[in-house]
Amino acid sequence: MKGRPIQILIVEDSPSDAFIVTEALKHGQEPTEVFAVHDGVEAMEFLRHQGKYADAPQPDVILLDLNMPRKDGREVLAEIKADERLKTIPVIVLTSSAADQDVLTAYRLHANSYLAKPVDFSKFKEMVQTVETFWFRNVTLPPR
Amino acid sequence: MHIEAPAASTIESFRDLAKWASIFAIAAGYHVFLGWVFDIDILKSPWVSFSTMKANSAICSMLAGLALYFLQTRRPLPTEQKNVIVRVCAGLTATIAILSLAEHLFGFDLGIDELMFPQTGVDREASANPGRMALMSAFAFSMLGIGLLLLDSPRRYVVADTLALISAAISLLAIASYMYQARAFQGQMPLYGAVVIFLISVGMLCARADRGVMAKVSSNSFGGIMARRLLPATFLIPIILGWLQHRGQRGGLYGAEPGLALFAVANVLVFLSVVWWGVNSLHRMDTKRRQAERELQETAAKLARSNADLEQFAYVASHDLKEPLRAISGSIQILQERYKDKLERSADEVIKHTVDGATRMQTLIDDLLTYSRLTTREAPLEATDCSQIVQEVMANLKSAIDESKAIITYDALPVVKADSTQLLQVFQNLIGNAIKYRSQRTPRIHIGVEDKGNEWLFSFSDNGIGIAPQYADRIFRIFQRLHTRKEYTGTGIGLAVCKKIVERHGGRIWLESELEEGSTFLFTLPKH
Repeated sequence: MKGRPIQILIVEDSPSDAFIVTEALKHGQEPTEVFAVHDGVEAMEFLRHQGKYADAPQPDVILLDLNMPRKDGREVLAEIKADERLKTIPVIVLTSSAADQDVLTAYRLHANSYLAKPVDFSKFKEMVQTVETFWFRNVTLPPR
Repeated sequence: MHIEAPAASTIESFRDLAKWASIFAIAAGYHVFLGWVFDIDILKSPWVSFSTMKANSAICSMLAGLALYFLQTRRPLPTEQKNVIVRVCAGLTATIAILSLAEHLFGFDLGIDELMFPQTGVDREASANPGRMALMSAFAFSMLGIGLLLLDSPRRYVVADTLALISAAISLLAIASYMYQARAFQGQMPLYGAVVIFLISVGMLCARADRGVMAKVSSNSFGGIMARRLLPATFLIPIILGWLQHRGQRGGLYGAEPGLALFAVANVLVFLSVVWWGVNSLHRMDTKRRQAERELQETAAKLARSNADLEQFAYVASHDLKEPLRAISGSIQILQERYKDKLERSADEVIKHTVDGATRMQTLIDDLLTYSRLTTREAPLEATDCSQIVQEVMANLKSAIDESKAIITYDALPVVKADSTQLLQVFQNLIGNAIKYRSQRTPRIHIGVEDKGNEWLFSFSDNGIGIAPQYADRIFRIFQRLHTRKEYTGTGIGLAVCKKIVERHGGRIWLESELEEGSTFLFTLPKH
């Protein structure tokens, strides 16, 4: 996309999951720049350029876990979609849960898509590559 | 109106009452008859001044007693034989009684009164119709005869009950008239006859205590319990109090009117205490019932809570367990990719085992979750066409069926009340298992169904490897397997899911199998 790498914000409390996502993204075709925060509070600070995130860029896409300490993914999602400035950023929910209730809640809060994390790394890689192909290559993201 | 089903023991006690009443009637009739044969006065009447029980009445008494005996007996006589005995005895009773009644009403003599025992001397002169059955006896025995004939007719037993109640009332009046020396009534029914008629009437009601008016009396409800406690008192108290009043009046203690006042007030007082006792015991029963209800509600609430806890637990377990699993399998695969050239060949096998383990763990967690959600995600039961379900299952299992060349046949399958998604799961698991655990032979699977009245019985028979009978229970438990993973894949969830679904639908599932002979899985579905 015009040479600039896609900027992705990963909101994920598990360092190993964040590591695996980052690792999977490295295999992709598209140049990406990954930022990781560890819970909902940090995510909102990042998006609102508060505290240590004063210089943080506005991400192109957010990968959001649902179950996190302090402020969970559902609250983050609700806040993003209620914020005029942030609501245009596509939010991809990426979580361990495949429970109907979680899927429904996420879409009710206007999640842009919902992905359940596979345990197997090769499947995980495949999924992340699909995300890349779709969201970073085919989709026209909102202009900034 | 729905009546609480009576306890079998209550019905049995009533039947016993009927039995003793019938035996008494037969014995009494027999003795009176002997009295006529050998001309023994005390056997015909307890008092010289009382009217005698006639020979025809004695015969009626024996016949009605016999009919009642065979109506209540549980002896393993052929039903047809019992019915013939009952019809003949009851029919003869009614015939003799109705003929005697006709003689009374129309004033003619059919010659049946003195058929066996011609009246002589004083007896002959004292009576206008010597040897004839008394008017009310004839009336009562006619009703008893007809009632006994109708006792087991499906719609007319109400008539039988009514006839029994009327003859009980008439005979009670006669008994009371002897107790109170009311001569006007006495001539119409001798004392022996009155006692026999009363007992047969009550016996008739007791012989069929499970229906009609007696159904409420024998019922296990509070009403039934109270009826059984209070009914004897309502019979005995007024009769006994009346007798006491009569004795006092005769003894010159008081006149007729004060006697009546005493009788009325005594009745009030005694019934007051009986009713009070009844109220108290009702109150106790009600308190107990309320307490039981409260305990039931508490248990239900506790169960609901623990169910919710379990759900929560299953959710958290699945989410939180998967994260470390992903960390293990993901990291080791990343390790493998990143250090491909630096690792020895044998490291690949270690990595493969690690990944396998993590993958298997995930399958187990998913299965556990599926299993725990079976009861919580309940869809309403709807009319479901089983043949359509089989079609769907065959489509889902097409590749397995094609590969194994399985031959699947099925009966005409019914429409049942079920959660169609869950029923499909049961069919698919059972058919899938039948294909998976096939023997060397071409798999043949048959789905049968039998109408068992209030439920359907489904059977899934195959000619596969079979299951040793000692495992018949174990296979329905979650994660129980009879084979290693090398032989057959899977976690051992399928049959546990089937069991849970079938039980959720109010049915049962079980197995009939011989090792190497094939298996038949059977389950029932209630029709509701």
